[in-house]
Amino acid sequence: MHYKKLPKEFLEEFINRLRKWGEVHAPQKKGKNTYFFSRLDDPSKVQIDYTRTVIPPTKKYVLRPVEPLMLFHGDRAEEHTLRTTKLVLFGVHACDINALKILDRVYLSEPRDPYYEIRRKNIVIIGISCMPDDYCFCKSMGTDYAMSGFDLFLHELRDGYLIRVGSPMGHEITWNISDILEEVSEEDIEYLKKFEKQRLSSFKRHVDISAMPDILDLAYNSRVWERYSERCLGCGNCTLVCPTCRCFETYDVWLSVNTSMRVRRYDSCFMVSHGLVAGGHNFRPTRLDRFRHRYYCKSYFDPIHGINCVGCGRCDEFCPAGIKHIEVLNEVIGEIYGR
Amino acid sequence: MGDNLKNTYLGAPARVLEVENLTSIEKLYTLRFLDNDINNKFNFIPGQFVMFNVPGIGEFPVSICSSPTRTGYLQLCIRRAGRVTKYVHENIVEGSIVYIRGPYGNGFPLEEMKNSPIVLVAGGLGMAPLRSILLYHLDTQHFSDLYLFYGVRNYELMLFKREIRTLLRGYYNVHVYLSFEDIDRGARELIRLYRKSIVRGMVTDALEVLRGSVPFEESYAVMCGPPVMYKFVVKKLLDLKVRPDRIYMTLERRMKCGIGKCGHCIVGTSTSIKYVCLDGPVFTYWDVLSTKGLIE
Amino acid sequence: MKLKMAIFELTGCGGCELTFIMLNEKLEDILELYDIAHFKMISSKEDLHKYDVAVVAGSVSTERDLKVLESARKKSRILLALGTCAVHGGPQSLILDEDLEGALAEIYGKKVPKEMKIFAGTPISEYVKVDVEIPGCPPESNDLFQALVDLAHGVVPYKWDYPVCLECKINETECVLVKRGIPCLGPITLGGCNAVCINLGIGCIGCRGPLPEDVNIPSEYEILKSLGISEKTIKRKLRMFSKRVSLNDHEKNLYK
Repeated sequence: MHYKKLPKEFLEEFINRLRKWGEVHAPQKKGKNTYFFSRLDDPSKVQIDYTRTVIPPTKKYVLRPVEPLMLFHGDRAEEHTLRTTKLVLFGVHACDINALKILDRVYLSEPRDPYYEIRRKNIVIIGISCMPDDYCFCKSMGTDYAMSGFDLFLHELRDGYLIRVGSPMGHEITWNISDILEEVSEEDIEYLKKFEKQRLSSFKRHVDISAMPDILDLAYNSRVWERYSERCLGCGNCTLVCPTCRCFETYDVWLSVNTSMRVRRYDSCFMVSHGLVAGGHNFRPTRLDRFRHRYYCKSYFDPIHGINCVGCGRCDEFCPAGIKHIEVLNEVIGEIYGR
Repeated sequence: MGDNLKNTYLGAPARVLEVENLTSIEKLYTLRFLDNDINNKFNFIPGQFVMFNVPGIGEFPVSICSSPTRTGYLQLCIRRAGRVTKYVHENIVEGSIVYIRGPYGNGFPLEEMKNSPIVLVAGGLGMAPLRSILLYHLDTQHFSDLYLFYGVRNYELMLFKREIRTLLRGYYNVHVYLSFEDIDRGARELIRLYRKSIVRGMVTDALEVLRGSVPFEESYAVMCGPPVMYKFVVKKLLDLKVRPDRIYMTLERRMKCGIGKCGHCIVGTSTSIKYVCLDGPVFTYWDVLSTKGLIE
Repeated sequence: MKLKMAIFELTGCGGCELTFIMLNEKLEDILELYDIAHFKMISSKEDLHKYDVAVVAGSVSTERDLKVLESARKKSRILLALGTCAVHGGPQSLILDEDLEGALAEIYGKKVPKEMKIFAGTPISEYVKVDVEIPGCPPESNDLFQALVDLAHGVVPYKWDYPVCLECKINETECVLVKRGIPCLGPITLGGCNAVCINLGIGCIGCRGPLPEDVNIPSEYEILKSLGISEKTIKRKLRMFSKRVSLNDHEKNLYK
């Protein structure tokens, strides 16, 4: 890994220089304490200490919430032309960077999703370190630190940021802006070590995932699923904000009498229609089925990438019924242990 | 300049050459791609499916029911079941243009089954993908013997009547057994003509009746039917001593993409997740054991 | 050949019918597909023969409503319920049958006209078969446009089942319920409105009616209660637009 240091006084300058590689998008604030990624025109508006966005940046810039796929005129069809701009996502958290690897696995495996692929190729990712809040459980999922999947990663120092260079693109950027960068000092390394130690000891939520997939599978008939699914509203908020949930629905919209557009839009496995097949059979007819399905999909252990959940805490923060993902898991796990 | 998206989600235009009414709710569509190049290159394995895309209306997955040995056209058996298929039944006629993409999914492992006896177990519309194997065998004599067990509510709802009646008359190494839940006029006529090949009841009853007459122990078994059918047929096949590693089934889900992206066909739990469109639609009995929810 | 459409108005505020006129430039497309045979809001012309599509707005609240509705059903191939009053009963369904007399007295005093035969506001599906439902107060004019073009092409319009939250999240709007403690019926209310109220910082009042199949009223009730809202207010809130809010055992106890 190649390391550099960005002095704090050059942060805004750094952001402005990034525009050379694309339109800079960064975390910004709306309302009381809601964060979202959006185009950053004024670098002073960046919310560098944000907790988490509503929709993860690593999801919404590659898999658009609503995307036109094709146009029809009568029975003539043409693909929607995708016009992409190069984007620099500044301030992405480690959990989201790790989640993008899971999305990549799905959308870039053959046959590749062309919309995703084009957008993905045009994104530069600048990560930033963070301190866990009450919802974070990324440490339990092993996704609290990004070792790859970024171009640059910034770690907070007392008087600046330690930059990790994670890709040729990252090298290109640091090479070109070397006039505002410094070498990393012994003092900086000490600070980084201290910061990491503090970060790792700040997590308030834990779950032991070593045998979790099996334990959950064995607990298929656990009453815990039932109890929580009675509280669950089935609104799908948890899936919409999830950085690894990627289900979409497609539908046709009339633009005029004879022209229409095929669109895809985020979908959620909490919708009753999600498990329905033609003829009316529903593979997940009850809320319990749907509730459990989400936990199983999130806790699925992929032989290559591990668990499908990165512990970002969004599902908990945005659940109107106050259901806590990790509490449910721990209860199910606890139950099977007979605790 | 826009980027080239390669029509991944659109497919290629195809013309409907012929529409045949099979039953009151199922029609057989014969299609040919407008682009001759695609017609020549389009190759598939029985058991695979395509996405049938109707401009402005929507898209649905449907298994291919013609055989890859018969090239230049594609046959799809479509039941009027949902929003788009209802539209197709009422509006897509000879000469209509639709878009087809695929083939998708794994298909049946035909090489592995070569020269062995095969038992096809079809329930209702499940006959459609199995017809692909049946025709393939008629053209290539791929299996040593083919035993078709086809369960359907009544004769009225039976698919591919002409072909099945032809085979009932006797055809070298193809043996057809039918089961009807209700005996309507057509069923009564068949019973009169081919008493030994027709059973009143479910497809499992037909399998039971043929216990001892069909070499189940050496056969591969392939099944397709409504969701409720699988559990019972698997049980019966195991009871008839079909080897568990030789039991295959093809499943149905509402795929929106057909290529493992949209998530609608995900089945399973934390230890095993399957995409029916990518990992299937053909699954083994081992898959069923390790993936909860694959069959009910 | 154009299809024949008729629009009928039962008890309501007239906003749903206005949605049709508010199709604006898209109205031209609709008029390419349909002849309007009957629509009192725009023309006194009346064609009382058969229709391909009858659009019915408003709830059944009077005997006249019922007559109009039954005749519309008899004369039409497809009947489309437009707006929350027609689909769910609307705010007028808040009054239950047993409270009708009291309500009348409250408004008209002692001189209630004898010929006034009214019922509690009722969704039209309680009287006739409804083919397409487009809820909303007012309904989205694009929903109406999509449905009318679908029907003209011979395809059944989509029947969605996602809540207001879906579009709210897609918009990345601040969740008023979770972040500000403002009562919001978004999680249990049918979406399609682009979460317009929440975009403005207001909680969803449920004007599009409850989700069509699985709707967890008891849980929503508990959430609103935890915000310190009285049972009576919650009950009114949940019932404001829909007579169809399902009453399971839990709620029956709740509403005693």
